Amino acid sequence: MITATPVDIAKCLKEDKNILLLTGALCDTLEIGGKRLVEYAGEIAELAGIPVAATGNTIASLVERDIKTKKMFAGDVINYMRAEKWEDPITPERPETLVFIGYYPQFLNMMLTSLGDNKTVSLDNVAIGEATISLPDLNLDDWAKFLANVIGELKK
Amino acid sequence: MGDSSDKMVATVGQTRIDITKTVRDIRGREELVKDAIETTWNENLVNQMKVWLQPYPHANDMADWDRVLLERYAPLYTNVQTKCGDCYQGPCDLSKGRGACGIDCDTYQAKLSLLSASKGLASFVSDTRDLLDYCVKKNGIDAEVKWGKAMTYGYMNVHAFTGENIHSLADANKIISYVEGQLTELITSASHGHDCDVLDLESKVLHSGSMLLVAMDIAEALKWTFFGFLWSGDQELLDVKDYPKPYTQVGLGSVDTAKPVVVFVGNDFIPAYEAVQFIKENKLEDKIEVGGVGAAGHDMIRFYEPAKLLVTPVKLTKLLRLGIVDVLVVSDSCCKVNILEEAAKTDTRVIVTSFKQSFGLKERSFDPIDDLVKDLTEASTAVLVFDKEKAGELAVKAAQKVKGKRKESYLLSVDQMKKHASRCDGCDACFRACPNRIISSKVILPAKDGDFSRLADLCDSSLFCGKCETACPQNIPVMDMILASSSEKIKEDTVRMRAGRGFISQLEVRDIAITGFNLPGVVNITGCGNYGGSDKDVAWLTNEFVNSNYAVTVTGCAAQDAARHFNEKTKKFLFEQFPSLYNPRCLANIGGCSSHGMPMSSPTYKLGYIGYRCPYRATFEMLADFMIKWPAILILWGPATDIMYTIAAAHARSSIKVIVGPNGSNFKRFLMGNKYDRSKWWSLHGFKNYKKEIEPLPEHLICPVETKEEAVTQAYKLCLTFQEFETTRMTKFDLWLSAYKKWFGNTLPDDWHLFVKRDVELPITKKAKLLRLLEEEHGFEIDKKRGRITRFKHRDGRMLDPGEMVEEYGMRVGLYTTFLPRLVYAKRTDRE
Repeated sequence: MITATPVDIAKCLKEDKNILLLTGALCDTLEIGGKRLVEYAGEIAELAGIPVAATGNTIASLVERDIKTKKMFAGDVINYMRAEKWEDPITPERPETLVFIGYYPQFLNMMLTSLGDNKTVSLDNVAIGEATISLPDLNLDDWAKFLANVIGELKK
Repeated sequence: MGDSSDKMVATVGQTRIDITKTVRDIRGREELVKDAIETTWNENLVNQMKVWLQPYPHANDMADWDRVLLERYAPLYTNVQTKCGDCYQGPCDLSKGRGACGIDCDTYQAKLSLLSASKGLASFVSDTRDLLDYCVKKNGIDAEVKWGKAMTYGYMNVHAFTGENIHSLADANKIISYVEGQLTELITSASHGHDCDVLDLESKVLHSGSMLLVAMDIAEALKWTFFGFLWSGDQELLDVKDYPKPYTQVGLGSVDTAKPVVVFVGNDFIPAYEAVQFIKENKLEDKIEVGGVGAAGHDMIRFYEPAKLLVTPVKLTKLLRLGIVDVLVVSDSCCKVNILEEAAKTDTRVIVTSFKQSFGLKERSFDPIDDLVKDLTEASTAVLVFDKEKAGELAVKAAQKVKGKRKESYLLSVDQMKKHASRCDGCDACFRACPNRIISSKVILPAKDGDFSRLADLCDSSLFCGKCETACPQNIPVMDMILASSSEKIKEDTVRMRAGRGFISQLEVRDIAITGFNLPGVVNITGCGNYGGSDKDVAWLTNEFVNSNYAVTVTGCAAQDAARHFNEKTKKFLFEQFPSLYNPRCLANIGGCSSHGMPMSSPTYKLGYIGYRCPYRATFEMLADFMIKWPAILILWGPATDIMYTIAAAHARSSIKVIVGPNGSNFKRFLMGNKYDRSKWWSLHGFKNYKKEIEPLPEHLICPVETKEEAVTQAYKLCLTFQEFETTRMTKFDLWLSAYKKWFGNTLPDDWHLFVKRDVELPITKKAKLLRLLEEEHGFEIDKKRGRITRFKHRDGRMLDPGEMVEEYGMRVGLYTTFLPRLVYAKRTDRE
């Protein structure tokens, strides 16, 4: 696991091919830096041009944005990732990088450990060993700043 | 035809069947098999189908059925562990390849899955054995086990797996011995040097679930026979709808703290039973407050009306820190291991009663009762007493003595809270540790200025797991602060529910059968309180389903939280609002942990026999084959123990779809289908024995969800079956699509068109839009004027007429279908 800086994360989001962002249930309920986590997720997706698998109830907040997004169940995404043939449930090609934000910790752990050798990025404020790249441990204010900096880097 | 003596021949109508050819090994089972065939098979069936029974099966005896499920719903392993240290050649890193014994990573996960399920089974079987032994000591091995007046078919899980039933403690002993033997086999299979095929291992996981249901039937039978548990199986049907009355009080606010308070926690209700006998004998009903947590609590309210249900076992710390318990009686399971430490913080005395959880205490069963009372009151805070009668008496006497010796309040004062809050440095380690992500410095810091509202708001959604306190570098007592902030709210925490009623009668099942599969579904909601959200979410789920005309039952600790919905209009709690029946738009509490065999598998086995003459003795595979078309869902909301994992497996094997709430996502594995792989979605034509393509239904067998809205939407979808009446499909379709639209951004699911076989199934209010979408997005041909589909686009791209579509895709109602080749109807030529 690598703990990343905002620059690292932005670089990954801009350069990696076949990225999928997954927004978890907590995106709707958590507020940091004066806005909901789902708004950070939406901005990141828009700027980086990446599709979003909106799990939990997050689709309602994302559907108005100029992004490719679809309501999905998180378990289904993991399920499709293990299938031999990728059937385009959301993207034409199988994602090579999966980015997670706003998941219950147990749920996130479940997904990360199921994904094995796939490249995974966690945007939650906890250093997670199971993810390929994660943020360091941050308090809520620093987390908000981190995500704002990622957005700033994406705008460059 | 082999041994032609009558002993080896079963006669059904005019047909004689050689019973040696109906089981794997007839020896010792001759009478059982003959009787099972003669009483539950009809002549038509024996002449058209292979007669095959599986009494007292091993897991491998059900491999045909298990493989049908596991090949369609491939195990999806989570919380993957790559380091295997199971043998002395390890540890081996399986992420790099096979281990020294040849095991690969997936097989290792399957072994862990089986170990988890076996632990769940062991936990319950051990308790059932203790219960049985206690009953035998009190009543003798030949004591009769009752059947209630409404119990035509007896204990159905026992029937389905053994072919026999329980009429005496000797019968119960025989069956539990069988289950214990199976348990040993299952654990052995999970160990080094044994089973090495993933599907074989997962088949054994499913088998552990089935064995759990058998053990649960026995536990329920003993509880009502020998301890007077509430039991709807002994009631007149007309009385069941209000049985029992919703008198049980739930919640911390229901406790009368002016009286000595005794609380029982764990899986063993017998100490509580003995305490209640002592209370009654000494006329102390108005003088002692008795409460329960976990299985002990749910059992207790079924034999003692004044008992209160306090918290789910996951939140035991909440109860203890509140300081209202004078004496806590602890058995095993559902219990935190730091109970003694937590109890000591509030001077709560503890009586431990279990061989399986003794906390390092010295046994004191032989000490005189007065010495124990004195010691517990004045010196020790905990004692270990295996003698359950003594423990019960001790609990009551000690509580009376201890009352008044403890402080009036153990809650933090306002000044203390302000002081603690001021030490918060904003690191948010608590947030990162919190499994529900609800606590943070933003919640704590306002308290330093006297604003405790945010802390109080967490009262319902905190698990009181203590991870925040462990993580906090400043050692702030976060849980104490939440409690103190919400103390006024807690005083008002009182709801009413019905105690568990147990049995589902065959007459209620007939009612369900009469609805002719027109009901949208049956759902059982269960769990341990380990919620990823508020306590009220279970009540929300319950309310949603019952108002959608589901037949709703609740079991386990989730039942008490199901009660938390209050209808402002009718001024009634949920259990007061709806009849206590297994019927559409009804809500029944079945009971605690041991009741899980009652609400789902049992009634459906009966439905199979009553409605379809599907034999039910030692014929589980036939029953499960029938049940896959039954819209039945288990919602596992907030599981916390291995038993829940095993319960999920039990229901999955019985073709009941399981939805697991967010904090159950550390299940070892899920069973999920792939709707895109058309080769997986087939059923056999029941007469012509060829595979027909069906819709990808039900899509999953055990799946995770994150939110309660996802749970409901997923349940609606999983209740769609590949063979149902038009009106039923229309109702279910409407429910599913409406829920999806309501909660998920006014959209439709992307796969709804896969389930369209006839235009009359389309919900009327949505039909115009759906027809347009079928045309524009999915290539169907529509007669817009008449609002009909003129040509369907099959999944393989062909355009089909409506009649062709019905024949090519899915199964039309009335056609017999099966998943097992041996259940295909064919004229038998080997009958006399």
